[in-house]
Amino acid sequence: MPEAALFHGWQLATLAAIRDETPSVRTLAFSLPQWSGHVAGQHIDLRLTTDDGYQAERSYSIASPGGCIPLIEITVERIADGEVSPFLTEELSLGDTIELRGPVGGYFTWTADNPAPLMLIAGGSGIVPLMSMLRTRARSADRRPARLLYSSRNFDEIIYRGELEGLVATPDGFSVAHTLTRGAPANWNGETRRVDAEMLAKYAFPAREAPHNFICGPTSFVETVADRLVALGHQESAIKTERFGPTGETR
Amino acid sequence: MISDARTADGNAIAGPLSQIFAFDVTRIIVTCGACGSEAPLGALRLYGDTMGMVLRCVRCGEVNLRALQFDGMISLDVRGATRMTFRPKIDRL
Repeated sequence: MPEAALFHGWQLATLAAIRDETPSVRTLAFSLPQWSGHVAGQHIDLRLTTDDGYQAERSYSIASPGGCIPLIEITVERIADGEVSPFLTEELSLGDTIELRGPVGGYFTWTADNPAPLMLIAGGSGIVPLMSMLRTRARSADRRPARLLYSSRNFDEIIYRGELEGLVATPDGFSVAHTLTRGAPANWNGETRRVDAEMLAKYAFPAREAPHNFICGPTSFVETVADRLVALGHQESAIKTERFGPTGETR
Repeated sequence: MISDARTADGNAIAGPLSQIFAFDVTRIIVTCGACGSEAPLGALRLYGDTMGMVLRCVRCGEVNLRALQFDGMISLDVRGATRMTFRPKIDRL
């Protein structure tokens, strides 16, 4: 590791816990020398340096609830030909250190004192920052209505499935609608197609309730859903987007 | 090489620019130099990688901002944006 790990806000994070969420998705929990707390939806940057000095930086959403907490979690999907994700999900072991900077970002954020209904729409690993918001909400005393519409390829790829079931089981005004786009189990009672206008009309808060909408997923997913929300009468200023996946992807 | 599943929009530039700006840059409202549409910097579409990040307008695809990082320097090319409006204080949506 470089000597100047704290320069420009970089610090050495230690991998303190690993949790497999799906066959290809892993949650990594880091302990940090200093952490002043974060807001749900914020990011951290990770920096990897190879033996020959090559550096790669990646920005990841924080999965843990907002506030000041002892361990910072990110959830990483392993992409076979990715440059960084195979290292994070297969090679990084408990006790290993990695350079981390953050928290950063103030655009795609939510705090529990936001009085508007909370509409979360996730595609695949886009669930991560939205889960931070739901975990933040679950820890707050005064909970506003919240809904999640979550699109996954298939049942086994639903990230945080059990935890979401637990949140729904708590009668505090939160509901989840799942849709599976590439096949569903025989007893599946959720949706089985891509998120479309009809699905949004059914599961999203209507525009007249003035919800705040957070959409996170692949670029094409995010832009399609955002356009449909606008068509349903939602103000553009009430729609926040975050794109996940390869950079430069177009719809 | 850039196919990892991770942030693919202007939010990814928050970390690098935190070295030179005293506030979070993702909330800067960027006015596109080509089509005139306004969007938060965090919502712009990201191309490239850490060494060279390019943020494009979501509406028309015009390059609004380029950030190069090399030799310990950060170089910003903002000719594709006609205006940037700053609201340093974090607020809600």
